Amino acid sequence: LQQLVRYKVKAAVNDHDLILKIQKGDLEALGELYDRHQRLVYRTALAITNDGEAAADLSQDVFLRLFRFAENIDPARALEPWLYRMTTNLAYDWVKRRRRWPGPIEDLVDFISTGVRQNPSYVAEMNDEWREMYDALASLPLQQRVVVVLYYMNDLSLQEISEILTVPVGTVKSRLHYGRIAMRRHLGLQVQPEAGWPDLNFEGP
Amino acid sequence: MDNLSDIYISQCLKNWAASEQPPNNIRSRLLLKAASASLHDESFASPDASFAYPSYRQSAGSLFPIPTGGSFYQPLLWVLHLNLTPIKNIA
Repeated sequence: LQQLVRYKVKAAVNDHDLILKIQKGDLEALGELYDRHQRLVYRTALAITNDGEAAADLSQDVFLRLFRFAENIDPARALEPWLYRMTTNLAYDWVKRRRRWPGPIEDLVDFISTGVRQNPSYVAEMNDEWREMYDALASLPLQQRVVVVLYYMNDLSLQEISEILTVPVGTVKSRLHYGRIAMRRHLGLQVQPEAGWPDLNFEGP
Repeated sequence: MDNLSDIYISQCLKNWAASEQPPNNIRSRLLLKAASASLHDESFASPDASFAYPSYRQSAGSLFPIPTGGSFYQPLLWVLHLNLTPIKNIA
């Protein structure tokens, strides 16, 4: 644990230095920061968009914006919340933009059935277990999907998600609750009633 | 995460995420674009830039540069001043 804490402190210090360098236009610092955080950004974008090419483009865009708007970033604060915010915002916009521009009819059928346009070649490469999990994730409304990804995949707290998405904690809780129920149902897991929420297993008298 | 199904969902998502690697070419594309952008936009990488959004400097090539400050000696303010001042007062 001490090693992990030491690593995190070291990473934070280095991020601080790298941001200062980026503010002066240092491209090497940008490359180093990219190496350090690329997985976080790429995987979050991929989980939200369900499109490998889009996730790659969005990752590039996130770091380009980091470079461009480095002056606005406070080096004393952790960079990860900024990266999460930028990634989710861009991914959110990308999904919404794609919805407004329907493509081939096959994509449209996918879109109607799953709520998102899936990249067929990408989905074909996934193994069955992950495809099932990913179908469950893709079936969620976008707002719930974003919260589920940040909470389950990135281990962020409700408070952190609330700050990243700039919505109240109660809204995050609600989206997570309904997202969780939908995921469990999709995966055939037992849906247990939670305190303070209506029992969704109750089918009436 | 309070029960087994939560842990299952979390673990599956993390396993899936761990198996996904970003393409190798993003880094070089990123650095190329950043270098190109900083070459073509002088507001990039300037240590004295006070804000990062596209600055007034980009308007320098336009026909009528947009005044950037509130100085009394700016031409547009002088034109306004002359138009609003009665001639008899000037004389």
